Amino acid sequence: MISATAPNVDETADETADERDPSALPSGVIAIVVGAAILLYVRGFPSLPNGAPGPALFPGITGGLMVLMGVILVVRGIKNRKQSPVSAEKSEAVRWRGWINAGSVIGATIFYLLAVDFLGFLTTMIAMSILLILRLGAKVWVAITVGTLSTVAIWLIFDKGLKVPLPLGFWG
Amino acid sequence: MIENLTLAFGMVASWNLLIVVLASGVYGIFIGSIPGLTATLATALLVPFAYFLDPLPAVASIITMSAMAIFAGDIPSALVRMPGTPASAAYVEDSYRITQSGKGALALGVGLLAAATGGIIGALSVMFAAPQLAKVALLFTSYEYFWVAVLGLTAAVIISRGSQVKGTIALLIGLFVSTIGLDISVGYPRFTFGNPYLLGGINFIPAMIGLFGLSQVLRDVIKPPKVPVPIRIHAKGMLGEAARTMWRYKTTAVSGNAIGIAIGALPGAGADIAAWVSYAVTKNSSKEGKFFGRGTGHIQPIVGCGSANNAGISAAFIPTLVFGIPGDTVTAILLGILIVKGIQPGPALFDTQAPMLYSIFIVFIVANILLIPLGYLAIRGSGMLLRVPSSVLMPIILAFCVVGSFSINNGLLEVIVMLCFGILGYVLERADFPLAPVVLGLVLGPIVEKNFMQSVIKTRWDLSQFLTRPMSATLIILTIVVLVYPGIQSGLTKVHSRRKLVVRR
Repeated sequence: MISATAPNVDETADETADERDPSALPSGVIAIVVGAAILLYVRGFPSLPNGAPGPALFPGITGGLMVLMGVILVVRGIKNRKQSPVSAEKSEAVRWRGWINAGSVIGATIFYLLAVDFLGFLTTMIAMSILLILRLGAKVWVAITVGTLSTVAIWLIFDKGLKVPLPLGFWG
Repeated sequence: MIENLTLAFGMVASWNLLIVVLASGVYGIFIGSIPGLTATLATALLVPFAYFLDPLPAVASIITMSAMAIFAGDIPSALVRMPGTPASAAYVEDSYRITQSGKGALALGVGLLAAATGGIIGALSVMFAAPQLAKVALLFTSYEYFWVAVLGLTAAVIISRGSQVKGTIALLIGLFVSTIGLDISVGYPRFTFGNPYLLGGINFIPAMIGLFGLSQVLRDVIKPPKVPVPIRIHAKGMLGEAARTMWRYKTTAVSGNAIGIAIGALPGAGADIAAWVSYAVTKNSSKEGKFFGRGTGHIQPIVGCGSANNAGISAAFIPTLVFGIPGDTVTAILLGILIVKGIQPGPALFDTQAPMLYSIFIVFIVANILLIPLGYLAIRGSGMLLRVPSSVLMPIILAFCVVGSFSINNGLLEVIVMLCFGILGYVLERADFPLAPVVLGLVLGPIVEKNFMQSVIKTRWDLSQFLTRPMSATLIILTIVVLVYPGIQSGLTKVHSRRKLVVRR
């Protein structure tokens, strides 16, 4: 048998992915809403001088097809809900830790957006990297060393090598 | 010809270019050998650099990087049973079982030689097929370009793995995003909501960095992968034995190459599909097919698939160079860069830029030859490659995503675009939507719309022109062939259903 060192490969045969897909219903509904919104919005677009459809044509087709595909997904979702209720354990809840990590990644990016013009690139990115590495569970000295060195390396590559003027902030 | 070739050698033989090729090779091996980090992600993160390089080094860096990354994907397959890139997923079971039985060096050595020969043969196919096709493409008008792009879109959906409805939705998302900004027929601002920054449309580069880079960071931090301790392998003398094995299965290698070229050249289908098809074909045609993926594994699928995926990576350049229609996600991103830099690939390239094209061909050969020493070193140091902790790697990738998108325009709007697409990419993948059609939609959307609108405005909405021109008709037939492809694919799903490898990351 296979050794226990392979946690990430799922070996179950599931050729019927479509039919058992718990995400079909919600993704179908979202597709219908987005498609319908596009269709409503393009009604305000002008047509060509001779009356033929112009700017609205392609977004309109896109929106229409999106609604159609959404309907197919919803029908599928309802059908398999009848056949087999989605078991709660299958949709294995991602642990809180993971969501906090994701929030930290997004938060770090927003922090960069807000702070970089004031603090400058080096300060902002070093702070952001060190905190994020710590959050993901590395040791303090690893976080400080890697966070600082990687930021300086990126700064050298982009600012000095590629001549992209990275913000200096109040240092400049 | 000779004159162009001399010029081309002159262009390639510069220190600058060679350094770029070497650096992107090392980078490709590194990214490819880390499970979950794909060649597409490597391309997306390479884009900010490529953007600042001249066209030839930019193309060269992507060619070299992708060839290396697709091979390096075999390394974690063999050592920890996790494919480094989706292109290695088809034969992960055989690689791992062979390694378990003590012959890991052989599995990786064969993978390396198959990759290098596959890449070179794929490159030769580009050299011979592309100029011939370009002669045909010169006769194309907006009608034919419309159909070629439609063919690309169809292939993107039909051949994408998993649900085709979801593939279509992913494609529609890409198409929709491509319509943001001033429209081409009357210059009306679409979906800009009065924001002047959006008039020029969503910048393709930060969108790609977000879709593939940031989304992978999110996936990784939400559910950190547990990489098991890699099996140790002894690489001494492996290339000799690998070469003998390759020779023994030379017909498998040749059929792998042919499959790789055919699928790679098809717009929208990439190296991973080539490997799956080659696995099915090799299995069906081999007397020992029933031993594949069982017991101690079998080397034959590694020969076939390893040849197919690298040939596919090279052959994806055929439609990219000839029609400006990307062959896979890597070339889609490359095309995006070239268009941003003001170069529109197409048949005209073969007339006006012949030395440049020959240089690209030479780079292909050089990159695939370079693959052997670099790959050999990577196999020897493979244990180390897999020990980089993701807690350190992910923040660095995030930093590259942020700086990379910022550097395109020195603006924070690009970082916001990157962030939005990162979250979109994560959500889509979590709900089992393929991401490749989004890219193809983004790249092909404007091509479809521009050529359609040009054609209908030219003929005052005489749609019969789209159907009755002989070349258009040929392309329609091709599109239909692609549409019935699922029938052919059902043979493939037999292999899938037996043991479908879903890489949960």
